Amino acid sequence: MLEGNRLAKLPTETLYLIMEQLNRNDLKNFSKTCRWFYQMSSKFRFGFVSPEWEVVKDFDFKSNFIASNYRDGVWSNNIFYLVIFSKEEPICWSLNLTNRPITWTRNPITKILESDDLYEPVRYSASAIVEEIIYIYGGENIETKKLSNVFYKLDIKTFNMSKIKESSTTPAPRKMHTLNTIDDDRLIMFGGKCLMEGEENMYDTQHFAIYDVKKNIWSYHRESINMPYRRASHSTTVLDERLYIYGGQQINSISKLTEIHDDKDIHLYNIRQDSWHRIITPSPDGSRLSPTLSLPSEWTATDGSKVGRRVDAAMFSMHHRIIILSGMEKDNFDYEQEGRPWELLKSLSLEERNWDHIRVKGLPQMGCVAVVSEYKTDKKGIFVIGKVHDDDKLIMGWIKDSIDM
Amino acid sequence: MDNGTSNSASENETITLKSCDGIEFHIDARIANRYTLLNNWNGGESACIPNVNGKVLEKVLEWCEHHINDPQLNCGDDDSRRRNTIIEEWDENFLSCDQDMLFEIILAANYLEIKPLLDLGCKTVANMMKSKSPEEIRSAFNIDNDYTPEEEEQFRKENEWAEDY
Repeated sequence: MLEGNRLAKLPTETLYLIMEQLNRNDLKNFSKTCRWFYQMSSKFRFGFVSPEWEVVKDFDFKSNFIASNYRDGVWSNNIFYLVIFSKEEPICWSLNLTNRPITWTRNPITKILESDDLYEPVRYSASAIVEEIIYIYGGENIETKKLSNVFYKLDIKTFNMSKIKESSTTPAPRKMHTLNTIDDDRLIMFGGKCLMEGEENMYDTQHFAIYDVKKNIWSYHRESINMPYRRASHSTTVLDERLYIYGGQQINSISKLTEIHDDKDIHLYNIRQDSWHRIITPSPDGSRLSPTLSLPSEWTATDGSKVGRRVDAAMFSMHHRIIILSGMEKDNFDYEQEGRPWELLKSLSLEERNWDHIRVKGLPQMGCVAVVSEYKTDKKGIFVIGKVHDDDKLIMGWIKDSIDM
Repeated sequence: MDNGTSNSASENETITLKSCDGIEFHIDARIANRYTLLNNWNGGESACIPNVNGKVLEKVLEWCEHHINDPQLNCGDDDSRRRNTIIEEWDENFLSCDQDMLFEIILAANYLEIKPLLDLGCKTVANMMKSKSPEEIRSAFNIDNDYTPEEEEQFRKENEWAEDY
């Protein structure tokens, strides 16, 4: 760089303050001026300059059953807990990210069941953690294949697991739903597959219920016009007192084929205001929905790169951005134009209301089981556990920067 | 100073600041009280500011004096302060100096932790980039294009965020 280039000599935080003032187009033009500013703007926008996938090999995970989706496990203090049920015993597998090498630990669970309680081994359930208790709700009984509304709580200090008694407010049996913790003492459940009354067919729901951990009560929220469509295997994340919902699939009621959901928009539930909003993804040409069209006040238009429709994607927040990673896409990929489109990490800036993407080189196509983006000790990466399509094997790895700044 | 406590300086009290090249400035003690770093050096009647020369310190203090009666910002105001893109006329004129001085002021504001002045400097630089092509930004800030045409193409392919979709 030239000696006279005073910008390049500014401290990184100061340069970030300048970049904060630029809109997408201006930042794009700035990034094109020279290599250094390209790297700085990319780091500013994504936390990465040139991310790549680094697989963790030979991890010791001996289980004949696999995680079905990323709602099965929960993170607490850099440890991932994944409860796997077998016909006889449940096991809580844990993975401590601060250990090297990263290894799975097998923690046998002690069942504390009352005399009239039946142990139900389930899969496709959903988990969330409140303090040191993991709550596991619903799923499919692996023996009977029937849907369940079993509600377990597991203490991760003792690995004692008990059943929460079914009450008149317990939601209907379901699988492939989501469960998120809000306010440190409530759980939010959305969607999932339920059984049609008196029939064997399943249907996807838009059921929305909040469980109060202290009061042991489920409450149901009225349906609103802006609620997300019914779905299962969708993705959720909580940021700034808002629950974000994206993707998933629903059974097509006509053909009964399971399809990845047509909905590429993001829905959000404002917890304080008890209101639903919708973030409309950009038109195919990247523009916002026509400004002449007057949108309902609960809708927000965005512009930028294409988002697509996905199932089993990971959804999380990073620097006040919503990130969508991996998963299976419904859209037919244009491989010639897009290369390996599943490598693209999609990022929504809530402030600027636009979408960007960055390519994670070598990222395999997978459904996400778990993601950690806020792991502090090793700041340089996002840790991902995934499942390769049509293969029950788990894969793990880091998304890391190939350019060290 | 009144028992040396920070927010109790009166209008008549002055302290002496010395720049790194030895130039002395007698300033209203209330200025030093407003900003953490200046305040930290405010133990005695005079303080030495390393890293900032007399010419730049004079400008920074001129800005501080003009804004001495501005309301104090709370920590929670950080976001709204940054999002506010309007620059007042006096500030705009104040920062219409040559680019070297502008960057010196930014560095000094950063060093002295004078956040409103740092934000103002950053906004001014950002405004100089807005709605400009890469070539115009290069020329405005004397940036050397170190891409080969092949690299430029390669970067575009690898990281498509910068490209229109």
